[in-house]
Amino acid sequence: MKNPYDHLFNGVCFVFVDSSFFGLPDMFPDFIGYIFFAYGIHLLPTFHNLKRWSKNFAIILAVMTFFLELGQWLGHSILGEIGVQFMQFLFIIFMYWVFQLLLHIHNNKPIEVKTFKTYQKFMAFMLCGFVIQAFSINVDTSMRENVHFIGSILQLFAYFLFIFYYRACHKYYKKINGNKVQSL
Amino acid sequence: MEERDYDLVDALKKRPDKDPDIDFSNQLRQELEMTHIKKTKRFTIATILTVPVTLVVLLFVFSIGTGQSFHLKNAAQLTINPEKDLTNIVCMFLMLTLSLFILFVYYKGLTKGRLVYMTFSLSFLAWVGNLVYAEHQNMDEPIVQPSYSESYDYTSKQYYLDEIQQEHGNYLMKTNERGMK
Repeated sequence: MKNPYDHLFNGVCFVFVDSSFFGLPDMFPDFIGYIFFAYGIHLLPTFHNLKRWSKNFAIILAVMTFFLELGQWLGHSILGEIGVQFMQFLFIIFMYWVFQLLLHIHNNKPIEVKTFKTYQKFMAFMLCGFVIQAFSINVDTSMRENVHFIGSILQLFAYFLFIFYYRACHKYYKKINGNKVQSL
Repeated sequence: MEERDYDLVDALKKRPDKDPDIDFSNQLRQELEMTHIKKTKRFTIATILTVPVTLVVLLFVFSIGTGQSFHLKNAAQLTINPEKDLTNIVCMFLMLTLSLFILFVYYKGLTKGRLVYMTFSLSFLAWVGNLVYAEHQNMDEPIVQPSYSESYDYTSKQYYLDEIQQEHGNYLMKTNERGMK
């Protein structure tokens, strides 16, 4: 049995880590992250409709980001930063659905509180970061970089929150599997 | 009178217990619950006061951070370029209100419903609005686009280039001639 949380965590890592900031080619392309997401959601133990929707959404996003990355590699991004920001917005909506799914799965489980708290903070940080980055276009030139940086920092916080959440999930999953092995 | 009161109390104490009036107690309980809900739902003075105060404090901190001072001498500077400052302030205000709204919604712990949908739609609208506004700003100010400007004379540049090339050619020819000699 494979751990679905591992795949979800890999997906978040691939989507967040972007080495093009440092002038390198993107070694962790987003579309691989979305494929990880799709596989992780596929492994989650539920038959809710949310699972189907979020899996399809992940596949659609993987295709979209693949073309975006292709444009970046070939060197002619038509929309430039706009495409990246739009994908970021879609990623936030996608994470909303993923958290809905996780809340549904962890209903009346010991990890429910952790899931809910992470959902609250993660969504708030991601959306605030997105809003601040959106407004940074029209801020005065001297302040633009700083405002953009604040938005990025907020999103980095969200990333760290997800890392902590993943650790809790991983422990929980291990505990369940350990019990199963003992019962056998 | 006091004796009579004591008698009454004693009589009441001795009275056999009756079943409580269920309808009355239910009504009372409902009323109490309603008042409780009302009290929790109503905005208290603390929230009404703290929200604008925090907004003002944040704006103040931001304006200090950007280097604007509140002296009257510099107030004249604001009148020179009022439009830009106004747009900046409006931008900041919208950004703060929107992010505070988002924080409020998720702090309340809502997972679905109109407010959550509103956070997504409002942030998307803010993004689109910013893009449209930036586009219009760039159209109004040709200085922002360094690749093309109408004030620059392209023909004269070409003329200068030709002149430079001619001089260079002459120089080359001279050097060649010297070399030939």
